[in-house]
Amino acid sequence: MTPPARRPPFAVLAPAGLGVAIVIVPIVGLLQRTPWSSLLNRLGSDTVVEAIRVSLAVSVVAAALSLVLGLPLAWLLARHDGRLVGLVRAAVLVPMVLPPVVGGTALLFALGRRGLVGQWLDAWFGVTLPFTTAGAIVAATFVALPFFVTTVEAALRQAGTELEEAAAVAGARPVTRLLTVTIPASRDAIMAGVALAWARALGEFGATITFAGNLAGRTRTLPLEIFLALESDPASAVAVSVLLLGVSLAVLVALRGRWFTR
Amino acid sequence: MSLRIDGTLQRGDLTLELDFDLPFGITAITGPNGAGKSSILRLVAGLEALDAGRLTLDGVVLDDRAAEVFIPAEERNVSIAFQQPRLFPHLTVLQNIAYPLRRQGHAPAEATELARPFAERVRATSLLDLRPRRLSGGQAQRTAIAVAMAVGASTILLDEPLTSIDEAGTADIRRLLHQLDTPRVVWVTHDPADAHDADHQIILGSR
Repeated sequence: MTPPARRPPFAVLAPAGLGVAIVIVPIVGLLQRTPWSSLLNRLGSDTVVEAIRVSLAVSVVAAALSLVLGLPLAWLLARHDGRLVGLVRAAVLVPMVLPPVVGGTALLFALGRRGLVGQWLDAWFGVTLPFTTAGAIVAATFVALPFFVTTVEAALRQAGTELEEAAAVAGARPVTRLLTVTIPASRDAIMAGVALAWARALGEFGATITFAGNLAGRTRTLPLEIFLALESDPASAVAVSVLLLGVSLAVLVALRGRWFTR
Repeated sequence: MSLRIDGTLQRGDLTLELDFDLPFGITAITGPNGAGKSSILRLVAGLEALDAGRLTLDGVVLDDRAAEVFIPAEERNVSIAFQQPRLFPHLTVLQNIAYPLRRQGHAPAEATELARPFAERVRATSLLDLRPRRLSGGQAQRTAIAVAMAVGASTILLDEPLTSIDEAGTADIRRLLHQLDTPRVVWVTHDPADAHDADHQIILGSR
């Protein structure tokens, strides 16, 4: 039998408690300043509604792009080994640790009108990305993609090749195996990846403001709206912050089956 | 018409020197753990490749590194039931059995109709709408055997199909395996009685 439980030592409890406080106190601070009675009015104002519209469009398209581009990428990374694969994996993960403003600067010099690729986009297709909604989507995808890829790659790796082998023997070609077995059998992980990518895209600030600017109705997403409102209308900034906090908590709750039980 | 392996397979420290025919009828492969019994089945199925030599099935070269020939698993006239049944978790029992039929080009409704007789053969008709996680070990293995039958291959490979099943269910499946109408059955087993009942026997040595 295990000995009776003892209180963990103070040397452990104290830093652990401080760790919890550093997360909880700001949230309590935010909620305590929230203008609850006028919350809906503030969230319904023209500028906020416009930012919600931009944010939804940008984050949903970025999550969809993360899915479409990230799924084949995650499969390649999960099923192949070697130095090149290792390098690709590291490269894809860079946006997770890179300061977003650096990402935005990099995007500007790559995809800006005079950028490495941007000059050709402009010359050949007449496409300009900086300071457009499309640019905001590119910035959001840049930061969100790694969240999808790491989640799904880990799941595919853990699932192994057993079912794909069974499908092959049953007569399924590689792409058919992917579509009829691998993807449906990993549906939960793929949904979790989309949710994480979407949440990250929704909160994106640094890369967006650097690359896509802060244009109302085009690139001014909710985080940019908060930043702007802090100067002129702090109560609105708090209201929008609470909205984003609620969305984040909802994503966490939706994912709880994956992370809180395992 | 024969299935012939003449070559070597490298598995870590182990080098398997293979030189034998797998004739029509039931061939039992026995041998100690780690002797490479499963590897031979994976080789025939196209899930592993010879390091040297060649594998031919009914006159067709399936695997010959020197000649740069390797026919992938999905194009081989071979099916397999794994030691741990590998059923697709998102599909029902009937859909699992219909899966190879779908790959043969049958429309969904047609494939499920064609799958029913296979389900009857393995006495799984009461399980048709269940997902694999609801099945017992024996039920899952019976379903997996039905899937292997539905592939319609002339060779069925069985990798210790009775080990994941409790004792009570084995007689049932054993009878089923002896009644397969597939021309060539290759059965990896550690049970001397099963090996004895087979038409042919291959005993792998351990070195």
